[in-house]
Amino acid sequence: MESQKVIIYTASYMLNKGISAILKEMNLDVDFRRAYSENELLQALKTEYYDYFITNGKIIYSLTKQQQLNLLNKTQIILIGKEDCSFAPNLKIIKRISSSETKDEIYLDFIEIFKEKTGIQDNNEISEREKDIIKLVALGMTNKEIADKLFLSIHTVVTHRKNISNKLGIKTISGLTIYAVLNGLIDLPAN
Amino acid sequence: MVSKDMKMADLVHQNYHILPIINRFDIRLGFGDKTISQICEEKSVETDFFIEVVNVFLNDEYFPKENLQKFSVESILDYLKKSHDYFLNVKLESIEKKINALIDICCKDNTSKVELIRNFFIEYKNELIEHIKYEDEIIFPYVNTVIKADIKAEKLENNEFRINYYLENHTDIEEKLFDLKNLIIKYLQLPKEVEISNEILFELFDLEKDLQNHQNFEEKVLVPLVLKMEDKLKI
Repeated sequence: MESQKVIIYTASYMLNKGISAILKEMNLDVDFRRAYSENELLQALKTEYYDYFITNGKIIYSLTKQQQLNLLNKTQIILIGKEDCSFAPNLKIIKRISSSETKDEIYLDFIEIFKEKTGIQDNNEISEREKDIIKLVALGMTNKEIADKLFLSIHTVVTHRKNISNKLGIKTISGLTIYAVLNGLIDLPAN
Repeated sequence: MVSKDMKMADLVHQNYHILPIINRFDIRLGFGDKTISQICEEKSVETDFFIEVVNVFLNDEYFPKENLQKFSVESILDYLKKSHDYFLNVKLESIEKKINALIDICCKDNTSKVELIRNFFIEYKNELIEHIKYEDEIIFPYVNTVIKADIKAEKLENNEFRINYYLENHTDIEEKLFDLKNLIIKYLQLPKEVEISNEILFELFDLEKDLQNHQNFEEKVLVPLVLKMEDKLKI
């Protein structure tokens, strides 16, 4: 099997250098390179496919939506630091690493990421459980109410909702409601 | 990449979707054989800015932030305002008209389905209008005060507001548009009315692209420029 390809680019020189030194030291079976400027990064992403992109929120923010969608649509992202990336909801952020992690912690993180390939599941069928949840979302219930009603934890409901949005390509509550009506999951609201 | 010496007519031949963008510079059809730079000079449009805007539109991943930040805030602001006018007065209305037309020609069984889509569109439209009005009425006038203060090298009177408050994300509105497209593409089955459904979709895709570029100009060009001026004026 070919080794997985990784590209590293953060705004901080220290982080850039540090991350590649750690990967080198760990001797993982990954093929990694660093970019030294945003232009170099964009050029690299345009010409080659990378399995992983190690970066931070600031860099993600500086990319345009089109660059995010076109250049990173299959690449899994490992984010250094805590910055909120809610402005880029379509990216596959699979892991967050804090810059204050100890050697053991960061080793474990990288081993976990690169050893068990976090593949993206491609099963697009909506399950019965997911249908139940769509119905309740469409009826205007909150995650907490759904969790209580179906005897699930809120965390499970949130995971289901993420999966539903990914499968259907519909993210908003009003969008899900219309999906539910169009597919006969709930009746037309009488008005 | 488009250059100054290209004929304006050829630019339109290359990609006619560029027309509404060109119109934002008060440049209208009937170009004759004039080049881009000739027409820009006639209309007192900053040619280099025009070229960059056009290239950003034509090349999906092209967005030369640093270069764009060299243009005057006035040019950028003017372009953004004209885009707002286009969204409000042309695009949204045209989409709504087409959805209404679809309802009119739909057979009875399907009317309620399309009405759902219309309601969703109206919800989206209202959110977008509110957002645009906020920018037109609060953000852009603020940017103008910063520009004025910068020219006179004065301190700003308004100490409360800063441009980065405005960096609230557009995600919610964007998601609605994305959902709307998907509902039509994946889940709205209508037996006959193919043409008009296609047309609605084309317009939604156009709008989405236009809005994304617009947002890039706001977040990655306008805001950093104003931040720099604010820093200089030490508010």
